[in-house]
Amino acid sequence: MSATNPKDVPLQVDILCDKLRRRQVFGSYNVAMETIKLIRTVVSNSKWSSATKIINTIKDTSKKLSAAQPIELAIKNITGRVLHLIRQEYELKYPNEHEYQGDPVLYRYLGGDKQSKLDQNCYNLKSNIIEGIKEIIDELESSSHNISSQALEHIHSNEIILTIGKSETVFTFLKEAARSRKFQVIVCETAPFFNGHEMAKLLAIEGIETTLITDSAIFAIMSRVNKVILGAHAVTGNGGLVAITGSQPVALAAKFTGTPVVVCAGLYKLSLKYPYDTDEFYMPMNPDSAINFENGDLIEKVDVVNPYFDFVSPDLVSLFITNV
Amino acid sequence: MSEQINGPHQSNKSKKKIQTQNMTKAERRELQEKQRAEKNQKKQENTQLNLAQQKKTQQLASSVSSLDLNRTSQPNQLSASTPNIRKPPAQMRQDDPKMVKKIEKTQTVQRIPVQKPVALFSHLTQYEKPQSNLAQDIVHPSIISLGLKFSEFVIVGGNARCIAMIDVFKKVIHDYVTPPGSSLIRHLTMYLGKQIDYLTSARVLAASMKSAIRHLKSEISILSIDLPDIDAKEKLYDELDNFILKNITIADQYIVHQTLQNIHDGDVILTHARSSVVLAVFQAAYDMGIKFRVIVCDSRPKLEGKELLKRLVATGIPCTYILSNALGVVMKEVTKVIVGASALFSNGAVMSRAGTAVVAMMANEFQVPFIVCCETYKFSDVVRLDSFVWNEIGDSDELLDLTNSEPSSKLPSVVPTLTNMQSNASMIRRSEWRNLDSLGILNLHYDVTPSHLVTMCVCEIGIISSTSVVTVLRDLLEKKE
Repeated sequence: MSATNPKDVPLQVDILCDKLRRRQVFGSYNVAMETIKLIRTVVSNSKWSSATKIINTIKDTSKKLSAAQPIELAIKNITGRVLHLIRQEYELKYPNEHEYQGDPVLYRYLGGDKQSKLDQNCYNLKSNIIEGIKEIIDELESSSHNISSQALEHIHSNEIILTIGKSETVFTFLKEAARSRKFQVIVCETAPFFNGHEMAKLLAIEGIETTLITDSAIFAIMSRVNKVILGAHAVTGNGGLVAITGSQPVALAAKFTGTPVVVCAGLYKLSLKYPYDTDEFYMPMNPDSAINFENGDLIEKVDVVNPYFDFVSPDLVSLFITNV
Repeated sequence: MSEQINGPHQSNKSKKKIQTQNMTKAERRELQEKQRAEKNQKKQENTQLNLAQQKKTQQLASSVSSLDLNRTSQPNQLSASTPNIRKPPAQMRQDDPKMVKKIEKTQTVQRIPVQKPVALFSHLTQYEKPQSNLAQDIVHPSIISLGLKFSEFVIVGGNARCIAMIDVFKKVIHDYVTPPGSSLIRHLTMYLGKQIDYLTSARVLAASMKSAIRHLKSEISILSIDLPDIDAKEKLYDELDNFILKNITIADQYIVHQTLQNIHDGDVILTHARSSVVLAVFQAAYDMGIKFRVIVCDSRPKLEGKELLKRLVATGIPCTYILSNALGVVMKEVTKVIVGASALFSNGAVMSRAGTAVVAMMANEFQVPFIVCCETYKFSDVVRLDSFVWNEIGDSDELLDLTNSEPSSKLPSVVPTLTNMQSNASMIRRSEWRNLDSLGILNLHYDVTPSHLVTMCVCEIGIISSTSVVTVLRDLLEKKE
């Protein structure tokens, strides 16, 4: 295998696209990190002389990445952050470039800024942008730490907490709380992917009193639960969640018994995408995990619906905990 | 009278002794008379209570007064002043160590309590998987084999277990010989009680089975004492057959007939796990030529929905298969939900396979009617508010089996079958979870769906709302008397 040149920008973009397509890079945190590192490569290694050019390059890159894996909303989020950063840096250098003093977004939309005045020569812009990107990376890395530092405000002693699936954020959140408080956690096993099993094992190793239950027992158990803590893959424009499958029954059962639902999500998961059609978030997986090929004669006659994600509507969530 | 040198701290007993010693003979006699009179009074009141109790139990002998036949403690009759404290059945008081000891003494079969009981359910029995070497002298061999079938989940489902049990009871009654010096009526009930204890130890009785047992016991008790054994047995066989015919076979036909009137062309019907009645409904609807499709929702670890799926596919009905996590995706296409039940309670709650409540909740959210098909013999006069009051806690190791094979492929067979070994590093192994102190695994078999999530209930006397269970039971009771 030929050595990949890290400075070869189009190649790096293609490599990441492939990884996304094959789901070798999966999960909003991993995707966000890889995206921002790629953008850093693009910024530092591609030739650009004006802010417009680099903005367009980054936009193209992000389009390619999103097309590879549309469910990864984190790509667009991170891109948006970087573009905003670039425009900010430019404003700092060349303030008051345009006559329109009001809302620059509206101005740009109305066509005022199309042939962007971001054409001024920028020597230090590159280094400023790289610095800004580094800050974004730092924020990403510390997001779950920042979220977990708020754990003690939300988890009290002798609470019974329900969670589903395996979320790094929720795990650090609970671990942090367990250092000073005693509480119990009930984990739903999230068949057929069984992320819940991993989560239960990890929590038990930390010494937290954990109980593993099947997804079918969610309603039965809910009357004893004090709080539901969910992780999210992404948060949509109206506040709805894209979370692991099974989250919707959990959130609904919580609404039924009046249990508060708390979502731990880093800011990089917040997306502008408005969920007009919730079906596009489900990401159907292969039916093997639901019915395997041992029942070959069944599979050819039966439709199997096996989504990986669920959409939870915003009225079911009580609280978002983020790293800001 | 000897003088006792008393220290400053005397025990009550010695105090009393001294008191009686100080009283004169006459006073002592008075005290004795008073105590004797009190004792007699207490005795009288006790016998009165006993008589009242007996009368009450006789009246309600054939009724549905008590679901639980394993009540080991009589209602307390401490004294006339304290009212009768109604204690929950012994099965629901496992967190009381005295109760546990008491049960252990009276049990026909000794079982090992589970290694790591789940705290939320510490009031319920949690046993390890039963050992198969329990050869009791008093238990009939076909009962032992039936118990094994129950505990290995070879026979599942309210109707199936009830029919299997009745068939075995016929054999048991056939082989039964009244011991000399006793009558069939008295002794057979006791003998059957031992068999039932064994079955309970294999797996907790379903509401359908309890109903059948109650009926059988009442039939035995009203047998005429002059009837020769052979005739009595014949009568019992007939009664048992009638029970199945009336309460299961014909009832199911009625239910199918009534549910069919609600199924139309273009329907998308969701069902959960596997119910014999619902399968019959679907097959009848298909035979009538109605164009509909079925979505089978399944739940771990039993995965009984796969069995239903096989049968539906064999019939030719277009099906979709999902696990309960995908309910949010499919529910918007569903036009109605039809499920079976294990029992229906007096407050209108439905006890069914775990996961039915999740389906009911989702159906409610999407405003899809939720129909329960249940025969009247599964109705119970007990009130259950949630799934914690009583539940069957299964083997925790079942959850660790991540292969999604259906029950029929898990049956013990002579020929070793190929099992796909998923060696997933994150999978929890059996040894691991027992060593991890903080990790508990809960495997609930049943759950209780609250009545307001149930749109209607179809039983053989018609379509009723689930809250009308009490009325139906009262009617049946009046009919019997």
